[in-house]
Amino acid sequence: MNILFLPLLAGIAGNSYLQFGFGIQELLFRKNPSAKGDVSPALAIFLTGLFSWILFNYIVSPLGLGFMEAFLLIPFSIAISVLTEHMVSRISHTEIASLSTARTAFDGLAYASAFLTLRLSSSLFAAVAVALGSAFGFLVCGIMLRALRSHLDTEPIPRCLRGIPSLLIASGLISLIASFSATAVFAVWGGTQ
Amino acid sequence: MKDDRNAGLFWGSEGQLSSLSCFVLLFAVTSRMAHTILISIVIFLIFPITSVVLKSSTILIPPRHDFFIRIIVVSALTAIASRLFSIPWPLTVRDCAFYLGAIPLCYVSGSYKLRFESTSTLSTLVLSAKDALVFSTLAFAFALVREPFGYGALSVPGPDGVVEFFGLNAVSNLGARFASAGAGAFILIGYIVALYRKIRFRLYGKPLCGDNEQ
Repeated sequence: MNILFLPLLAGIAGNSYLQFGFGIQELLFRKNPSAKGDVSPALAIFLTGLFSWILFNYIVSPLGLGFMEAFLLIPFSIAISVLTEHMVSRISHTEIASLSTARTAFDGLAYASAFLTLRLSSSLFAAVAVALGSAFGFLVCGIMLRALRSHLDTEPIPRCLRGIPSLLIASGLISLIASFSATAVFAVWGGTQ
Repeated sequence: MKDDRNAGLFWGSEGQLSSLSCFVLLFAVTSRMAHTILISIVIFLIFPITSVVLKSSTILIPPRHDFFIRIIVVSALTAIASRLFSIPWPLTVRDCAFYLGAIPLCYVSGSYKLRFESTSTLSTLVLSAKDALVFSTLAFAFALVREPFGYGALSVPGPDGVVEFFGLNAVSNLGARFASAGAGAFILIGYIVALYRKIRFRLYGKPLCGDNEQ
């Protein structure tokens, strides 16, 4: 049952964008946002979460180097993100437009996924569940913000609020809904256990 | 339109509120003043030291691996700083471990690369310190709004966790706590960016919502 609970925890209560603000450049600043553009970050979130758990639990910790986590996590997240970007461009037969977002671990999304997976998972299956939940949470945020962006562009709002400020305010309201939904889900889930 | 070439630190296109390069830290850390103090001190140490180390070892770094060496250096220095600050403030460092890890990302995603490549070592040091100062000023301003409303107190880091001052239980009700939550941070930063655009338009005549506006 825990395995079902973990993706919800990672996708709603631990959503990297809504709860911690990671990925703002990826979700709000990207020119011409599309569902296709969300594939690389989502895959990087999943792979970084999964491989960081494997790295730290099967290689780093047995060697007695667990204290290196603070140093290794960022370079590892960036390496996986860059590799993912290369892999996706090779599979989709498209040129890599820019590696700059992958070089920031997709604005920290991959790093946040790795950190959460390491903290929340006690087994490989749990790590897969948390990493999948994080990636799914990002995809849902991307869909919602694209829909909001297209509506906000046509609404009569003051010029200084157009674009990023209105999306930030909208994100705040989504974050509020996510927090209350998470509380409700966990209260109901806890009551049925 | 006024010349804003020298206004890059705050009002230029690379300014922190314009590019939101340290958004994660502004967003997450400023809910508690104690965390803001810790992160600001670490940034004040890390940004200038990293820039000087990288600038003075430019000849030794192969251009092909330039980026990864930069990220490894800043990550290593952040890890060392975390260890050092965990001696006086162990619990605060533990609470901020997630955000301390984001400092290298803020360093590489910000405008520091441009400054590092275009100036002398001394200028790099001064500009990095100014960047850290701009971040700290913004972070303290945010924390001064968010913590009193959210927790009804102001906190500083201490050996046994955060030490709170000015406890005001009347302020800290459910509605006010919204300011310290993630949702409140999004909305607060959204309105502040809009206000920033208005002021920048008045001062420098930059468009309120141009093509490259962020």
